[in-house]
Amino acid sequence: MKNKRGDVDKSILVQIILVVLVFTMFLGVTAKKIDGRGVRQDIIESQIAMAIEAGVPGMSFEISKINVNGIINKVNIEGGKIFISIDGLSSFEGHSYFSRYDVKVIDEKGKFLVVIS
Amino acid sequence: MMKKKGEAMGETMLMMYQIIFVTFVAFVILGVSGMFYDYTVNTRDSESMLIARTVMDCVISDGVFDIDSLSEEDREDIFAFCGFNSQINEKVFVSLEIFDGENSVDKIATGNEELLWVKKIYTSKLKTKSIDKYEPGYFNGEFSVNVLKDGEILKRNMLVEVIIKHDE
Repeated sequence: MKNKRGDVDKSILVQIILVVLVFTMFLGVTAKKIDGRGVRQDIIESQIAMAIEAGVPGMSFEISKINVNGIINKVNIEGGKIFISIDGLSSFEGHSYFSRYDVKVIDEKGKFLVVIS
Repeated sequence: MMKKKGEAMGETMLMMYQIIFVTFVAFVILGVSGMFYDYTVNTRDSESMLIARTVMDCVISDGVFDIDSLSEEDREDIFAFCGFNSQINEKVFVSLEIFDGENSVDKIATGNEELLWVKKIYTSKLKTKSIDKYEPGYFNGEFSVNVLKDGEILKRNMLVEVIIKHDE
């Protein structure tokens, strides 16, 4: 009898662990979408890519670190793509931009400066 | 002792079934929730318009498109002529076609020509909702231009077509 009770407890424990695992997986995968960080990241990357494409040498623009889309942690330009880290969510895919000119990002206090030269 | 071993095996089997079942349910939940939370941010149409403008600014100087100044190499890679990075060739197709009335008199096409048939899929009946988000960005516009050819300035129409591949 005692043994059966122990078996039942063990089974329940295994099930609880499995359910917790599944929930963790689920939240891990959907968190980016649920809180909209992924969408906001895509939007701001697209906006910056278009601003770069429309830019001409001598032009520069600022991206405030405390942005309407969230806290911008990092702006990086690499291999013709722009990567923006927002609210701690790193960007892995980035957004391609097509420009004839050199583009660089300067990290300044409270803002990122994108300079086209 | 034998019975206990059998019981242990049975428990392991049961646990494996539970793990397989829970994993299956997890994948179903992920699949369904993925559909609900799916989103597309596609700015490629606007970007194709910006590229069209940039290419036109590059080839047209003081309102005149000097075709004579373009070498055969320049005509084959108008992006390099304009100073774009070579990566653009994989992702973008640009065509500049010059018309005299209804007749096409010259055409300069550069970039990934495969995008032409990708675009054709999206304008045909083959297009389905599931491939909507992979639609390439597209711009086409006809403009009146002064073309300098063989030392003579001619009034012509130019059809500019730009296709941008969807980002992977």
